[in-house]
Amino acid sequence: MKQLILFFSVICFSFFSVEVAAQVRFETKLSKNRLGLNERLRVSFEMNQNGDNFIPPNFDGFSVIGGPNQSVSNSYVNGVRSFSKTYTYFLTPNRKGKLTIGQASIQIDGEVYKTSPKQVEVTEAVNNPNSPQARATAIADENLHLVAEISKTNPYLNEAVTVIYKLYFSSEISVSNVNEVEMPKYSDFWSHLIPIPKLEIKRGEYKGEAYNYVTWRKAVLYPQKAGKLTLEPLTLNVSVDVPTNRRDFFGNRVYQKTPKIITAGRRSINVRSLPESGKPANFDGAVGTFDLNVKFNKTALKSSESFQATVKVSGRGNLKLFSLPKLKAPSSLEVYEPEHMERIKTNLLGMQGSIEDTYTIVPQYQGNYPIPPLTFSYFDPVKETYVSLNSKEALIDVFEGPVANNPSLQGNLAKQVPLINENYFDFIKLETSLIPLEKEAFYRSSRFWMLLCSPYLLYFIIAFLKRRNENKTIDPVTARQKYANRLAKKYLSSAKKALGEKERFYDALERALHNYLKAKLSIETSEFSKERIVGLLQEKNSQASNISAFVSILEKCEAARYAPSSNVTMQEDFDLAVQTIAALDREI
Amino acid sequence: MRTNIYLFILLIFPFTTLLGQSNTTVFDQANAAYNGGNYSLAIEKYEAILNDKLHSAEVYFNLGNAHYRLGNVAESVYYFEQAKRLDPMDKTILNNSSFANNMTQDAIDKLPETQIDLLQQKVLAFLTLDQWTIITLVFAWMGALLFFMYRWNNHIRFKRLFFSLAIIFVLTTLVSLGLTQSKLALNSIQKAVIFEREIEIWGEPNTRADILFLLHEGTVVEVVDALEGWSKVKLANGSEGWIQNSGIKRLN
Repeated sequence: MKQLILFFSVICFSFFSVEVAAQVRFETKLSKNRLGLNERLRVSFEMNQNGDNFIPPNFDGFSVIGGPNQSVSNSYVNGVRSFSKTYTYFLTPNRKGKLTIGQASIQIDGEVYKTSPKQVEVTEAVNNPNSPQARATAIADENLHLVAEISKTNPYLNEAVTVIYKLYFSSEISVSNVNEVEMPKYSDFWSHLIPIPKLEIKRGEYKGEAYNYVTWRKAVLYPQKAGKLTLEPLTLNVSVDVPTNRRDFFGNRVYQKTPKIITAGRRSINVRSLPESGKPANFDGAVGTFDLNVKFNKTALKSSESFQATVKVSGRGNLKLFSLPKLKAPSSLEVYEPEHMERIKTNLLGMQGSIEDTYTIVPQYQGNYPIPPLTFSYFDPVKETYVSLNSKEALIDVFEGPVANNPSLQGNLAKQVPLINENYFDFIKLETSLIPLEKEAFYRSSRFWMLLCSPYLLYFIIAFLKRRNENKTIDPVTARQKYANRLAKKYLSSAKKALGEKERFYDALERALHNYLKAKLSIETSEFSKERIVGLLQEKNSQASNISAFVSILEKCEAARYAPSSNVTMQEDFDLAVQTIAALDREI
Repeated sequence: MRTNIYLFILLIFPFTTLLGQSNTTVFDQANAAYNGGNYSLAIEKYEAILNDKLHSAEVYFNLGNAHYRLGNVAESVYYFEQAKRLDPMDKTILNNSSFANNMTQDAIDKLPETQIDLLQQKVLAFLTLDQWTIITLVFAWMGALLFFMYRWNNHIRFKRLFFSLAIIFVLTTLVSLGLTQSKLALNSIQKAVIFEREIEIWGEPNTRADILFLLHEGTVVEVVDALEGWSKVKLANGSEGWIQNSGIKRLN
């Protein structure tokens, strides 16, 4: 493998080339495309038919150190003639940089033909100009190329990009001992190298010329950042066997080994971010084409058993770079952390395969547990749209086991509700009495307040009416007595007011006493005489002292009215009258 | 006095009137459909009863059962909650309701409650609002009756007895009135059930605000405020936030 023996073919002149058509060919051939400032360049203008009036270009930037040398060859092979005429110049460059060999012209059969201009790169002066080593390096440069092929230069974020590094070499040289000097790191990319088990030489074309090539390295990259990303170059150290002009004893060409460092793949990739419009809320960065599958190994079980739910996404895309949608289960199911499994193959088209999460779920109580559908969204870079996949809802039936003592019921009512013995989802109720949906509220309605207060109102109304009735049914005698009693009090108080005014005082006092007797003894004023009063009072068993006191006050009143005595003792009389009335009142 | 007694009797039994004989047959048909496993038809028939502006705890309970059988989380929880509102003490309703709550995804821890709160809730759950109202009226009438007996009884011993009993009844009436009022307050708590599979709870009643947390189908929330298509909801664990009305269904 390392020794690639290849045949060498002559670069410039082909004396025995076969010319099929009589087409005119006139072209410029250079000994090298790159040379040091102190090196020489051979330029040949070759035509396949004889011409005249050859005009060379003015070799701008070069000095002509030899030529023009003219050579003509004419040969017949199998009766076919081939002709070649060449003008050769030897030049040295005058300055560094890219120099152009201009157009030369020739007149063949009366027509003017021109060559196309060719570019030459002039570099720094080399140490050993025109030495075999420099020549070998130059040949190696021209015949060995490293190319990085990038599948896409403007991918979407997370869309697979493949980079293939190909080592092209012409059949003139052979390549041995390739090793990597610098590996690209692919920062800002998720990268995967596709291993190449055996290097194979294939035929291909490089810039229109036939070349052999070896695919050295294949990488799949997933850009992780939007924007302009730069790929680091791959640098290889290659030993190249370059043919020399020398021949060995047997006439075989002697090859010279020359080391060569080549670099390729400093490329920039413009990564597009995913479109914002239509991006689903649950989008988690999956790009590619996928399929979602949610499976349960059982849908009916006892509460002591466990079951497994598998969430699987399969397809092609950045499978390792997104997380699976989380399984959501009712809170009363015990869900353990999922087991993650990946079955992914990576080839030039990207990652392919499936990732899955396996959840182990243990129901604690019996009942029906709906597992809500899972939604998984991805971006399809080919169709440039977001796609959402939904799994189906599953219903897990746990048919045996304890019933939930649901914590959400606690507090409000459940603490008092014995649910322990109930371990079955109850059947429907078969009896009902329907009531109107929208019922007028009774509580706090006016009817309610009326009903609440009416018995008490009734009570007070009845009590009031009863009292009024009692007042009406009192007999006239007692009414008169009450009236007299009131009058007695009235006169007594007016007597008190009139203390000091003799006449008015005694008048009031007398009236008070009379009225008092009227009230107490039920007598008329017509019966009013002292004897009668004494008699009546005695009948009521009054004490004699009180009776005499009463009579004496009456006499005093009369005396005071008619006799203008000066020694009146109004205060004492008043006090005596009050005492006597009080005493009589107790007795009667 | 006689008319009062009639009125009173009318008050005690105002709800025993049988309404919609045809609807009871619809109810029986729905039950038969349920037993036959045709849950969708059963749901249709039960809803026909509700469309006739009639309801009962049993209709809601059976609807909840049918939805549970079909695995409809939100509907099932919703109808069991409705059934609980009408009959808060029924064991079978509570039992099946806990089954339905098992299907929900949100695990919400209740805030701890004091023993007094729990006792009050227990007492209030014992009777419906209407029953509490009737009890209050009965106490009030008993108190008034005792006052009458006190007033028109001549024996001093009975008078005393009736008077103290009357006072006790008046006080009981006041206590019962207070309980009825708190029962009304309890009933006026607006509750709602989440009907969206997953819905955001926002910090403000607009989508420019932050999303506070997510709720899932079947979770029961308390509605404390409302504004232009948004409702402020409170969870059992005390957290609050705004939710779009399209995602919830209110119980009352």
